[in-house]
Amino acid sequence: MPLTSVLLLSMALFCIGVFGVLSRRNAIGILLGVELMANAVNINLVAFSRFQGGVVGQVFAVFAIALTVAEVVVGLALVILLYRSRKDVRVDEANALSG
Amino acid sequence: MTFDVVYGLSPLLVVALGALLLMLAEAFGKPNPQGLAPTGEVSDAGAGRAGELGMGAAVVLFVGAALSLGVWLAGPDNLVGLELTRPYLIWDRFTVFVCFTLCLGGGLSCLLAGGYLTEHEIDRAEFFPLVLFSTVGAMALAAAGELLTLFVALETMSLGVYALVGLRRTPRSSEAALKYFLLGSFAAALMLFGAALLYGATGRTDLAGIGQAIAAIGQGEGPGAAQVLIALVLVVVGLAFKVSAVPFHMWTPDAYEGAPTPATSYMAVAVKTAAFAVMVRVLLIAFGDERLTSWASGWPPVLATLAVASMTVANLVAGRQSSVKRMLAYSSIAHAGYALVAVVATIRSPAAEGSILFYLLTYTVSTAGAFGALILCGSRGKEAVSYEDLAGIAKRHPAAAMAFSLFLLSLAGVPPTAGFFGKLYVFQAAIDAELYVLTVVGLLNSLVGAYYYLRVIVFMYMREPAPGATLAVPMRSGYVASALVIAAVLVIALGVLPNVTLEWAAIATVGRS
Amino acid sequence: MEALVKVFPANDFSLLAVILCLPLIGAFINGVFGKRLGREGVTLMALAAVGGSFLAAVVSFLVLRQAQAGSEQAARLTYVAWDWLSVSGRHDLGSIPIKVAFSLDALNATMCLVVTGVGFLIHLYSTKYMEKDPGYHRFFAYLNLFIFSMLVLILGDSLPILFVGWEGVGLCSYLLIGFWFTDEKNAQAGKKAFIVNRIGDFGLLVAMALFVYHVGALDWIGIEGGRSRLLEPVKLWPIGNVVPLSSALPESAAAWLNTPRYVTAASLVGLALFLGCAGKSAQIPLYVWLPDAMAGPTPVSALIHAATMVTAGVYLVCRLSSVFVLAPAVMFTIALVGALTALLAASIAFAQNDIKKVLAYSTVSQLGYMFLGVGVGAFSAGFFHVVTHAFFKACLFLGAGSVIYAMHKRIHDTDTSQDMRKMGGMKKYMPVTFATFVGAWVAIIGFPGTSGFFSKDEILLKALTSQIQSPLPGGKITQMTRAGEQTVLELWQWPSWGNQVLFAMGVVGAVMTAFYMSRLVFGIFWGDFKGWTIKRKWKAPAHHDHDDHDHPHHHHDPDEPLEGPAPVESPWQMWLPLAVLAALSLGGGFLNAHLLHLHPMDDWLGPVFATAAQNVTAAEGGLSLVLAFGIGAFALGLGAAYWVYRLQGGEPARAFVERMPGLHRWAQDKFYVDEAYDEAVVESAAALADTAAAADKYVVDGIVAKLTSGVVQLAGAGLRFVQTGKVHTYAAVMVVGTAAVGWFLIAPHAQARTVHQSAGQYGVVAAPGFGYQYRWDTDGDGQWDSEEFSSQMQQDVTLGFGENKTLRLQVKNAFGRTAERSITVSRPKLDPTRGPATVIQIEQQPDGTVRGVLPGQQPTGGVQ
Repeated sequence: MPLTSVLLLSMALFCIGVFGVLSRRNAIGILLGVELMANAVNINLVAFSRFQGGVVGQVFAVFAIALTVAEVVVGLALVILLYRSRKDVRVDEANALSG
Repeated sequence: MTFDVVYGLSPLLVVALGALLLMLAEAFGKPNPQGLAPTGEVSDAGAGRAGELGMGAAVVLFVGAALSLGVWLAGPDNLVGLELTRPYLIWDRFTVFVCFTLCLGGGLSCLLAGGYLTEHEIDRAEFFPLVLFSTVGAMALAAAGELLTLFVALETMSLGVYALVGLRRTPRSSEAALKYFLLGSFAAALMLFGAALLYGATGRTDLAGIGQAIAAIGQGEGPGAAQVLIALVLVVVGLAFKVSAVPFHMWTPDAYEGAPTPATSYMAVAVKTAAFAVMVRVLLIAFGDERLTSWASGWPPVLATLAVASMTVANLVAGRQSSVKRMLAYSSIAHAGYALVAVVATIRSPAAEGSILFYLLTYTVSTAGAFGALILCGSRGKEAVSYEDLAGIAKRHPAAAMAFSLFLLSLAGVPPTAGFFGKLYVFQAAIDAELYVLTVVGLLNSLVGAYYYLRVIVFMYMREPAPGATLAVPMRSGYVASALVIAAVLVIALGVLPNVTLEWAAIATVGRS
Repeated sequence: MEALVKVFPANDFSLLAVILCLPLIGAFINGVFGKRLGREGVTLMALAAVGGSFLAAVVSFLVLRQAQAGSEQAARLTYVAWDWLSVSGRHDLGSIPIKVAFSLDALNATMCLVVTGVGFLIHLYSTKYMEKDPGYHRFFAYLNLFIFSMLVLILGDSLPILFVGWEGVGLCSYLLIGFWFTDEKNAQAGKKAFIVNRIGDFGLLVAMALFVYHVGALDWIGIEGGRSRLLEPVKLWPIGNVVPLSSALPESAAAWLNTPRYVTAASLVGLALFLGCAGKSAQIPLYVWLPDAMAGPTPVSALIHAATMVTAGVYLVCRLSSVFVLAPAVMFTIALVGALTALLAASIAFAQNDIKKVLAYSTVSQLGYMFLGVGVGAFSAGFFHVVTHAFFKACLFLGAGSVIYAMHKRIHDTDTSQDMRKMGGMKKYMPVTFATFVGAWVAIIGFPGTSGFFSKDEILLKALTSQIQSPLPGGKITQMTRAGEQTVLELWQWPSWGNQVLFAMGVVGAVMTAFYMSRLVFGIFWGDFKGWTIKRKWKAPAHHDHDDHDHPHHHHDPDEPLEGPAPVESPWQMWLPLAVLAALSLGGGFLNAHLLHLHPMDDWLGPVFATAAQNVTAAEGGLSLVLAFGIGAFALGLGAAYWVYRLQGGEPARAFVERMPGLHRWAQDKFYVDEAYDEAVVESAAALADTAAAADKYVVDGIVAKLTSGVVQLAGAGLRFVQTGKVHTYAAVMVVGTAAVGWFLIAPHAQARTVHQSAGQYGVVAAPGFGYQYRWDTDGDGQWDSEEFSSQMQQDVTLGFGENKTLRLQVKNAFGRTAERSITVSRPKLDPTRGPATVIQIEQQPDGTVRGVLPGQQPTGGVQ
């Protein structure tokens, strides 16, 4: 499989992620969109590593996964926090702060 | 040699160690063994603890600042073995100066929190370990010379701040935290994608190596050049988000307003300072190629546009706010615009990096002071939020009003305060780099900006509160007062004697090739 | 004395630090600990600070006199506190270090004595006047801070330090005007003072920038040394070489429009400085803030708005006299504006009934006299009037304060208690105030022998005889061109009629001063008391815990007859300063009585103005004429007032008002200038039409300013509307932003610049871009030179005179997208009349003369 097709795949995944962020109303849905974007990055990193040799890309990918996990943990905690106070996880309803 | 390395890295190490100790103290030092005491007492006890931990955290951070100063005087270049940390951490004068600013801003915020959490009976002493961990991340970010380190540091800093914003557990606080988190992770994902492309195009992850590889890419079409350009777009966007430049600023007012005020202060000073430091390093080292710093098609015109947009939009909107805290949030966006002017000036003026560092230092003391004064003007249940709340406060609490005025004048850039010289040197660097249009726009904007700062002073000194309105009652807190005294002394000292600090900032460059 | 000189050497005269720091310490202690110190503590601190400063100033004065004795050069004592910053100047002049340095010479030593001395007396007076005010310590903190700022202003050794003081006094004035900040009127007055002074500050900033650019120095010595560089001509018009679109006009109009217009840099600097001075010293058109500033406590009016701060503008003109004399046109403008201000303010003072307002307009008028004096080059005469005015005007204000203090015991309304129609017969009740007030009054109206007589007549004499010479021989600046010499700038010559006009205005002003001041004095002190019905053994009906400002609920029904005790004399803390100041007003004139051949003041200040004096000529004689007019003016004004207000009981004035109600109301309402400034709706269209300035103001403020602020408001509102609070909006904006950045970096940009390498050789250089490749069409045939893109970024072009050539450039970027642009390179025709311009060099010779030197020639003469 040539590098270009892998890049196309990751690009597509990235765009789907961006679309998810823009279109989901649910906080968890947006979080999932961000995760898709992060996974597109991981695919990229691994593919570059495979085609250029060396392990830096793979190490990078592993770190990126770990960072994403940490991010998700904090994110879910914040979603729960919002749910506790509002009984609702639709973020577009949460617009008390504006202007 | 070993000692030199430990000494060199000591600001980072001390803060990290302090963070661990404070976390332990926070976890094990929990009072209230019965768990049955009436709520009021519990929160009082917890609040008292907040003060102690706050003092501890502030001491740790001020020690970090003092050590940064010590490392500066010893000279990072003279410390044997310190270059071993390269390319992961680049521990040069630039980094050390930023570390000093970060520790100072963090320490001031901790002192503010010590008073604020006690006064508002928020039993959340985890504030302090979070600030310390974030500061560790911020210092590492300022030092990062490699993409992987950069991201780990960035996330370390950001995750802590997300939690800080949501600390109050009110609906507004949670909303602010979630918004900031979602957009922040979105921006981080964009930037990460850019970094991956950069790695793909150059095969390197260290910034200097990337810079060399980009210089080696020849003219003409090719996947490498295209990838580098897209990576540049994404990285610039990610950095612009962190410094909250328009149009990537929209989270800022919401997050700043919803967060507890000491956390706002921390975000405004430390996060922004670290983000500017990493921005300068990435743009100058990795994207410093002559073809990428071209006025026709490189990052300078992009950043110049962001700078103009940030200054103008923020100043326009800030004038229309009714909440002082939100006004200060917009003011921080405008200040990001001024600093961006200096970032653009780095392409032609060797003095520009020093002017950024000096600007960030003056901005840190003025902003932390302004938020501190805002905290001081309110007390539990009687917080100062809007302009109306501050009406006539000069009569009820002249000291708080005077301190607030000093910091606002510094933010407005009135001589002889620190803020004036910060702006002066930024604009001098811009003129040096022949960026006349940017300079004029910046000057006009700082005139417009003076309006809404002075408006606060007008309210404090010349207005009477509306009859029947709830009055903001200033709090009494040694922590907040001492933070304000430190900030005020620095604001005046940097205004009256800017020379030494400026000379120090001027030799702190990122060492571009 | 020897020991003093040893302890305080002239180049490190640390006593200056003592003079400066004492009031600062006083301000700090009173401001921070004032509440805990108690009234006695605050009083002691404030008085000790200013008194100590005064003593140090006296010692400094003596040391300076010792140094000055037997020397032709102006003696200077300097003290450098620390190096402040350095600014980068023009490249050939290097960077300019700015030090926090202070210096003392004859000029500011005198000023320093006045500020600390009069300041001390007014502090003493205020201890009683402000006794019952709840903000007692705050008041003294501000007052001490003011003294400090004023001392920074006058002792500063460079323009930036002066500017710090300049802003400081402005701030203190602002704080003290709004001292009773509960009062809406005072807050408005403070705001007005603030805004007007910003306009003036702008002038000062521009002047500083011009000094940096043209002279390369900001300290007094450096400015005086490099002042000859200010004679460079500066082209004002046209911007660029020709006016755009002027070719569409008829030839003669276009030629007229395109004629280059030059002024000297000195004229620009002078005008900018004078704008600053006019703002601070309340000259037309920036005088409107001063009368309103009298809303503050009366001692503040006496100290800041009469004796010291408002004279800062005159001080600055004196300080930079060597620069101002290089621009005779500016000097004439200063003199004319001063004379006009003197007349305008005096005519407004005719119709005022508030005694503080009368004194305020009188101050504006007297400041006009000072500018008239310095404008004709009589710097020491103008400055002498600053000193005498400080004595008699402070005395008048404090006396008025004493009267108001007495009135206020029964009438607790600020406006009414200051209304002279409510007073009268005070001579009987307040003998000391009366005696001192009369002392100051005879001085201001110029009774022979008093200080005002000598200082005003000296100004009138100089207005008649003194002129500013053209600073260059022949009065023109020429440039060498290929066609020969060409005059680019004819320097302005002092008009022959100028002195007569200025003198006449000065005399008319003197008559008016004598008239309205006499009206004031007769109204307050003679006649019957009209404030309330005086009853013996009267007791206050209810407790009034009052202070000096408005209490709306204390407004008395005007119809209700008011009863009260007889007004009483003020305590000694108030009349002692009055007595000292009155004595100085009467006797101070002998410091500079040219009539009696006594002129220690002129001798003392002479060396300071020596450089400037080279450019001033004064005709001999005229003394007896001036004396006749001066005494005549005084006699006429006083006599007229006596006849109108004493003999006829004010009947002629009332008849006049009845005959011409419009004129009177016009004057009473200050010619509606304030309304014009406030752009309030003016009562009648006729009054509006009278002031052309008002229309201008109305258009500028009403349309331009409103429109701008409207646009700003709208833009702000629109941008706030985008800030919806929804994450999706924010993310979408981010994505759009990313797309925009991406669009810019991914789209190709064909840009190029032209560089001139040598005669006829030009290079066209394409801007670099990442992944860019270029191809060129250099021969203009519409075909690319080669179909292949290459990395060739530069093309060389050779052109003869008057030729031009068009090239096309196409770039292709890393994404394979292309963009193109055509560039035209042209070489101008050889024009024999427009060769490279050579500005004559202007050098200052060691003997102080200024010479114009054309390159390759011997100096062409000089001026003494």
